[in-house]
Amino acid sequence: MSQARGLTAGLLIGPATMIVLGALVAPLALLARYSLNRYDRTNFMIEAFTPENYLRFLYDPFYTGVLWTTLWIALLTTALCLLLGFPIAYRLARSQSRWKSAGVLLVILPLFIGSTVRALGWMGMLGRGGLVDSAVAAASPGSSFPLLYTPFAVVLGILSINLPYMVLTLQSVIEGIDARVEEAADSLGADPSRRFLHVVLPLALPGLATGSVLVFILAMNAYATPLLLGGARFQMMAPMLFREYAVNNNWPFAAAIAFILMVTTLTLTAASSAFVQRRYKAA
Amino acid sequence: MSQPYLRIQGLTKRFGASAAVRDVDLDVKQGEMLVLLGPSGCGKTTTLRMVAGFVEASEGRILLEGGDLTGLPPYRREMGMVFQSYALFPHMTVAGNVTFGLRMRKLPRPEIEARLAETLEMVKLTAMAERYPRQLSGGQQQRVALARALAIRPKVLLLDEPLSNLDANLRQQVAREIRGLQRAAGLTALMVTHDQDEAMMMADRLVLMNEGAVQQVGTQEELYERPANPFVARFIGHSNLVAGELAEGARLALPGGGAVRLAGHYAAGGPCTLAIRPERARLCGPEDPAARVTAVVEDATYVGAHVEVLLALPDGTRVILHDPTDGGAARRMAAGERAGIAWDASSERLFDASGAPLAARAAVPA
Repeated sequence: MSQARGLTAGLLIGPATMIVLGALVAPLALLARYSLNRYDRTNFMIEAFTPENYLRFLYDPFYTGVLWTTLWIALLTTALCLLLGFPIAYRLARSQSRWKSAGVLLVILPLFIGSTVRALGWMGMLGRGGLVDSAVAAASPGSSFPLLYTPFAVVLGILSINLPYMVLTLQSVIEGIDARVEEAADSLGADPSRRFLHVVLPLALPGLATGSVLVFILAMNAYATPLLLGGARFQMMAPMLFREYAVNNNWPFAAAIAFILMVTTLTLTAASSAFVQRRYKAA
Repeated sequence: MSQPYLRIQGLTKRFGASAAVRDVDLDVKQGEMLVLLGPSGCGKTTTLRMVAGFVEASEGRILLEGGDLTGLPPYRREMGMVFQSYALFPHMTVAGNVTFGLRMRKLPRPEIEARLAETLEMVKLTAMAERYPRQLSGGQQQRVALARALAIRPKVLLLDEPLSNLDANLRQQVAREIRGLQRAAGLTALMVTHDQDEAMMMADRLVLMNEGAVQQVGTQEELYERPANPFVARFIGHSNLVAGELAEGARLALPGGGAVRLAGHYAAGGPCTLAIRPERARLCGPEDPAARVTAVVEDATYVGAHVEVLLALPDGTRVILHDPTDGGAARRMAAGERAGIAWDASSERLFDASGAPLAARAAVPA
């Protein structure tokens, strides 16, 4: 009987396992193999077993510079998501108004629009002759205020895309914190700021970590937003990776970039969750 | 008489058009345990939460030692609250929970340590100081919640259904423990419960509420022996209520036919409600001269201390009587049997149409 049960279980998880193996592990293994090959102008890719693609990335200040740009943009947008998302999430979570579901819907709604369309919208807002620029020109004739193709535009674009994910994650976590616990802190003499610091924040920490990891990964891998809002001189990892692959046809180097991006993201993610877990256990 | 320690004046809470609490006036003496009792939705919890400061009062004032608290946020009211769900901080140890209020008050370290030791001693949890709430039983969590509220030496201890999450067999013991600690510390306390037994066991005085309004304030004995209206009579001790028309001062005509021969003589007339407690009336033969009304037995259940007898009065009104078992010697009533019901003047309560109690002029001999 237990054998039959094992067979049924195997049949049930089988398809999902096959999909994961076929769609994730196999391409990744292939990519890993490619990253060790050699690029050639005429033959494009030559079978080899060399670390030169990785070394090229690590020793060229241009590429490491792109990695740094990607990192600081991702960290900055994650921090801003936390800062701006928490108050919204808290209000939504603690709201008992009949407008609550409308509020949640407002947060979810932007997710229905793709990042490319959203970036185009920002271009109209921030570009030369766009809404902001025209308003500034109208206020003081002769001046102009083009924000498009600046890191600011990229941060704004990524922030607007990632904020809903952060708000929704935090909202569900805060809803899981008993409101009576906050009242208990209140009655024991904790003013709102200390209530937040000593009770709400520590209890929301796992959710903060989950939300941050989510938006950090999204930001690290952002493609359309930096491409459309950053301009030609602004480089982030995902658009650069695509250019090496599709424009330069340098598959080995593109594969190496993909692995460097993935390992960086995973390392930081693992480090942050290890930190949170330790804090949470100790607290 | 001295000034009351905690005074609640005209306290009202409206949610939209409806009032959850209407014009509540209460005075609590120092060191007294006042218990707010009532069915769910009667406004007792909202009243407590207004005193704690979690709910803003629509009208009225809350005065503590003469000072007005009404506009103060909870964290400045110096009240210790024990929540129904305990609401312990899950990320802090027992010690962390108990010292939270002391740390918020920035007391010096040695003083915090001393109070922690003292408080844990009081609730017998010294050995559990380093445990987390999830590692404790329900009863232990309850004691941590109590210790946390006591540690700040609150001016008033607020208890919101403190026993409702405990096993039935733990309840009495914990009730006595809470009462003991409150008395020993001379703490003024306000407790909310829907459980009559709990309220009777814990209170110095009871406040019975219904539909947002105070029905009666008094000691257990006052509420039981001298209920202010039929609601109080039925809620405290489950009185049987019999509606009828008072005629000739001592006869209650039942609307569906038949009449009750009252024990007292009343000056008033018109529609009245008679309240008789199940344990304060006795069964007798239908022709017995002591019988004040005759009825038909519908059901009789032996429950140990007594036989619970369900009877139908001539007009169909159902009443419950507790027939003493007398060590099993008494004759058991059977369904369908006719019986008389008798009681003394001291057990009879009559209320007029407005619900006010009527005084008997002189007892009519049985």
